[in-house]
This record gives sequence, structure tokens and C-alpha cells, in this order.
Amino acid sequence: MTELLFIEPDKILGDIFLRYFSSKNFNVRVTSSAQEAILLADEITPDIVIIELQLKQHNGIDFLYEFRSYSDWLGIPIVIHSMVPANEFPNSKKFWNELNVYKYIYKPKLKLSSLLNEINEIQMNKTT
Amino acid sequence: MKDITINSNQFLLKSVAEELRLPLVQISRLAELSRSSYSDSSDEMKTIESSADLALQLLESYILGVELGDKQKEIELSPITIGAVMNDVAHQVYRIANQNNCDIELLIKTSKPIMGNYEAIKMAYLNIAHSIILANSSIGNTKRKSVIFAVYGRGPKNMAGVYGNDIQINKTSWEKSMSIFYKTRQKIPEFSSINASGFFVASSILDSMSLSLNPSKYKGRKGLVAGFPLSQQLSLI
Repeated sequence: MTELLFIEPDKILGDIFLRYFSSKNFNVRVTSSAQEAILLADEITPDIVIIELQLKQHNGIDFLYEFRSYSDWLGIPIVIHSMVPANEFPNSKKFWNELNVYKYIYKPKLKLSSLLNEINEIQMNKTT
Repeated sequence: MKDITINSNQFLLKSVAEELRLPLVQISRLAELSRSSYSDSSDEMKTIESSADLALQLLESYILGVELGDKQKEIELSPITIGAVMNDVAHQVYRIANQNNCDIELLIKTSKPIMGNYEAIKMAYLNIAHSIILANSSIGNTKRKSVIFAVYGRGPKNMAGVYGNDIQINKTSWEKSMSIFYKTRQKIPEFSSINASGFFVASSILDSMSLSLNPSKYKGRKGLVAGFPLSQQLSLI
């Protein structure tokens, strides 16, 4: 089963993602902190990481730099799923490309079903 | 573009609006989760989800309106067609229209390009469309309602309007409403106070792009329209 790692600081949303994606036959792990996410990634090696940028203590960008510093995880797709609109990062395309971010998704605009489609699409791209 | 700076009150309200996004996203996603898990509560959950989404959209539009009005931020313009925007809007409001027993007609008579900000114009028209659909369906009788999304040329402009078959809005009531909307609870007598907010938010977004929203008539229906100047350069391409 595909292993999803959600880094989501909001408990209610974290619980929603856990329940929804578990019901769609994914193995789901949810954590609210970047530090714990690194430990979890070490333990489970996720297939896809979905991250909110606004985290407690270390922000999501710190996490992205640290995560990408490990050669084993360079190929793991990362989706930014954030309450921060993408246009708040001017000229960000190059920056996200450097960090090998698969997609930037503005959280308020994407339904669970659409997020599921995105994740399925990533899976399909990985297998082809 | 208008030369306005965000004042501290607007900044505070913008921060509040930004904070309110999270609980609305929680409500919307929780309703979607319940809808997908328990089919017996599907209709109720759809309604909760739609209400949360509408409120979220209103907040997003308000935030966008404040940001566009800030002279320190530049509005990115690109060649677009208003027909494409209206097509997008019509698809996005389809579910709300359906829930409110309302048909949608899309009439695109011109596809001349303009220079504009696609997302901002779309946001403005989403608010107008939602408010007109809700107002159209809340007026009395139970007969099937319809809303027209029309794009047509008029002189050097592309006009884009949203019109309902049961909307009563005219120049006098619109102008009066615009002049008193800071001071009164029910801003447009023909609409409930909640529906009307969408018009004012849309108006502020369009206003920041030096466009104005006005009442008009189309095919015997009343609604609101804005005119988008055609780009001389684009017409040469």
C-alpha cells in the first residue's frame, strides 16, 4: 500500500486526512512537526509527502531543505498543501523546482477528492 | 489602477479574514469526509459543505480586494478572454445553482482578448454569480429559475454580465446601495444582507482594476455587468 506522510499542524485537518485517505486504501501517517516528520520518514520511507508550510518551530521550508539533504529521499515526491497562497512567494517556480517540489496546492481551494486525484496522478507518474 | 494604501483597520480585518479561513476549511472538509463516508447524510453534508465554501470564497475575495487595492502590490496582467473566465465561473457555480433549483445559460458572443488578471476577475464574477443565484432562488415562488452568463461586445469594450430571471435591481437602487453600504445592515433592499456582500466585494475587486460594476438588462433580465476595454495591441495580433 502507498505510504502517505502528512505534515499538518492543525489537529482537525490532520484527523480528516487520516480518515479520508485511510478509507481510500492508503497507509497514512500524520504529524504536526517537521522534526517528527524526519524521524517518521526515516522509519517508514513514505511514497509521497504532503506538507503545510506553516509549522510550529521549524517551518516547512526548513523541513524541505533538510529532507532533500538526504540522498535516499531525493526522489520522494513532495506536495505543498498550504494555507499560504502560492502568489505570496514571488518568482517561486525556480525555488520549488530546486527543492524538487512536485506541486504547490492552495489548501482552501482543493477538496479532498481533488487532493486524492493529485495523489493518484503522482502514483501513476511514478509507475510509468 | 487606483492609488490606495491599506489602512490599519483594513489590515486588521484582513488578518481576521485570513484567520477565519482555517475553521471554514475544517467545516468544508469535514462535511466532504462525512459525505463520502455516510451516504445517508449526503444531502445535509452537501449543504454544509456548500455554505462553508461560499463563506470561504467571500473571505478570499475580500482579502484579494484589499490586496489589489494596496498600491504597494502590482496587479499582474496577461492576455485573457472574458468568455473563458465566465465559462470557468459558470462551471464552478453549477453545484450551487443546482442545489437552488436554478439553470445556468452561458452566452458568449465575443472572444476578443483583453489584458486582465484572470484570477481576480474570476473571483469577482464568482461572487456576483453566487449572490445572483441565491437572490434569484430566494424570491418567493417555486418555479425553476435561470441565470444567464453573458459576454458580448459593445463598442471598444467586452461586456460581461450575470442576469437572473427573478432579479429586481435597477440603477437607482444600486447607486443608493453603493452610497449607504457602510451604514446599513440590509444593503440592497432587493437582496438579503448576506447575499449583497458578494456584490460589494466583487465591486471592490473590479474597482481596483479601474472597472465598474453596474446594473443592466439583457434579454429582458436584470443583473450586473462590467465593461472590459479591449486591448489595442492585442487586437493587432
